[in-house]
Amino acid sequence: MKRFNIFNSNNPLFHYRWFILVIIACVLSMTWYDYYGNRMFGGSNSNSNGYGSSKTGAYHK
Amino acid sequence: MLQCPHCNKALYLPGENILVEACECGTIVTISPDTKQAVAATGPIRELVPEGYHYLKPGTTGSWKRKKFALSGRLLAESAHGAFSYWTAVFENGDTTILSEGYGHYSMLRKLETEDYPGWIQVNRSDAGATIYLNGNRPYRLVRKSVYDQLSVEGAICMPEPQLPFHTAELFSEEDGYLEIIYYKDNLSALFELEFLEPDGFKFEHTATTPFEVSFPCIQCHTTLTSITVPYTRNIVCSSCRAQYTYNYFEQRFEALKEDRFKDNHSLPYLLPGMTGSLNKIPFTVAGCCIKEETSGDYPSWTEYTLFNPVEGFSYLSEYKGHWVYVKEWPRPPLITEKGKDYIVENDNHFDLYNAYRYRVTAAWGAHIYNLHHTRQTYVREFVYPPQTLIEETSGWEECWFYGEHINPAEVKKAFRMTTPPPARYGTGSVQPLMIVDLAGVIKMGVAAIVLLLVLHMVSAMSKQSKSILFTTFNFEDSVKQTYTSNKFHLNKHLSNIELKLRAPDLSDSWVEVSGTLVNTDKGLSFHFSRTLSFYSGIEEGERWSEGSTEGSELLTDIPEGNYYIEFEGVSDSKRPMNEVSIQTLYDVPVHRNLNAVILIVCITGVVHVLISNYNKNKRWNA
Repeated sequence: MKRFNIFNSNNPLFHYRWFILVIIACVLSMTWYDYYGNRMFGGSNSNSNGYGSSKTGAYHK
Repeated sequence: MLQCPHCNKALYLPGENILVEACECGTIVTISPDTKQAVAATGPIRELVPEGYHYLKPGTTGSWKRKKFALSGRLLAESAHGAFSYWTAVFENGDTTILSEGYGHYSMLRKLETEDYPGWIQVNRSDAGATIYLNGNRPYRLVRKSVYDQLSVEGAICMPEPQLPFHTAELFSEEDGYLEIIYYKDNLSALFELEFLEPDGFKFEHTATTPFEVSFPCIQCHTTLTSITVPYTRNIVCSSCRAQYTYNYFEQRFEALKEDRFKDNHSLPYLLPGMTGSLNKIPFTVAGCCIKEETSGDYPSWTEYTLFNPVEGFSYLSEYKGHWVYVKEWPRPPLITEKGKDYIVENDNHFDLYNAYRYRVTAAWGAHIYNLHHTRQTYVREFVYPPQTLIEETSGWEECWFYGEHINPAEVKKAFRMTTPPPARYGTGSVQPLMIVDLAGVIKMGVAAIVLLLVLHMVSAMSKQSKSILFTTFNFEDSVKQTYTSNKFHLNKHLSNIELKLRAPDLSDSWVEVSGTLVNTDKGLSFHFSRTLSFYSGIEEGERWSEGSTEGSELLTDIPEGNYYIEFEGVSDSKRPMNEVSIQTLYDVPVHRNLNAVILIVCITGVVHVLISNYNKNKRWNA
């Protein structure tokens, strides 16, 4: 049985290999970002979050 | 007990259907299939002196379809065009069949019990490539017709005593496979179905171990000339003085060619006859090399090296302007599923016609398996699907197919352990692996990818809670600055997001800024945010314009599970105070921007592929 390998020049998809890789990368990264509710290419929160003591707001008073 | 009619020596028959046997005394004995009587052959078949095996020899064992066999002998058929061996394979139960071998191709012949095939006279009227109907009026393509004028036998064979000239015809159909008709005599022939196997497929054992070669001194310069490819060799050229020899297969010796000397004075090729190397893990010896030149157009010329391995047969290295292609002959034509005037489709690969030409040989070194001075009748078509190529060579008597692949010059240098650099590379090679894609293929693949992304994103969106955890409104009627602190609430996902949706419906020629902090009371984490809404509009030179929006949103990501509260602070434009801004806080929302981003990437990548492909196509075809 022939092994499916798009990096083998005999494979009809050989010339599309980089396109296929980009598609796979898009599918995987979108699934990852969607799962954790993150934004692609948006960086993390526009206003940074930090592990500091929280502001003393009305709630603590 | 059968005896040789000449020397009365007992003849051992290794199988049931042995019909011809070479006795040790040199007599070719034919055995009647009916009476089992042995008589001396009347035809001009000679006994083959048991020597000179490249791989198979009498006594070699193997297996086919899980049945073990041993080779009992062979008929060697030779002509001006080449040589072929028909071995007799005797199975353990005494059955016999023919195993054909030549040029590194091996096939088992299975006799078909039909007489529905054409006679030699009809076949001989057709050229290779012609359609011939047989075996139930099915169309076959005539692939090769052979006329052998020298026959030799060694050991015991299961073929009837053939007459000279000995004819065979090979036919091929994409649907029905490969057939061979063997015309033993005017009124005796048989049709066989061929099954080609790689040598590994037969699991041969007890094969020849000593490399076979024929050497003789050059009559001009006394250099020892060696051919490792007899009986396939047809010409050999002295690498020192360029004297040419032809192989006289009747006399089994090389004879000097008085005429047909090459006029061109080329410098020595990169690889010389006798050099050894390894390509695709197959050890090869360079048997010969020649310069070929097209007979029309700009008369481009290229260098072709003939490589030989006793088991795998012949391969070729072709070098043109520093671009190398590694070529191997296929035992049968490719399975073409679609073809047009300038393309063929094989194994779903679209091969475009790159070149069609006739050629002549202008210089040569070493041994060659075809007549160097009779090449003009061969018409060559090169189809390319880089880095692959399929080459069709047709002449009146045969159609040959070669499969080639681009090979890097550095690989050639390494394979033959060369110390000098290979010829410099110019332009773009015919099968140099540049990216070439089909527009329709890119569109199909892109659409499929976008559909997949949409489905995945929808599934992900449906799994989101999209829960509204807070809704508050700031009213700026009394003050331009407002604050609000929420009650404590719990967020239950390991990691998720919060979206703040701002709406200020009566915002006009003004701005409002909402900032704040989401505070995790468990871990002391804080997430700050700030968002300004502004909306300005007016009429200028009769046209209405607007800038900004009365709505906006802010996304806080990487929010871990825990207890939270949120602080908001709203500030509106003191010059143009507004009524109110509403803030809706949603937890665990889908991020549709991700889908847009990946669709954009797929589209841009597809367009870039098509553009690069078009550029590469032009570069190759203009080379």
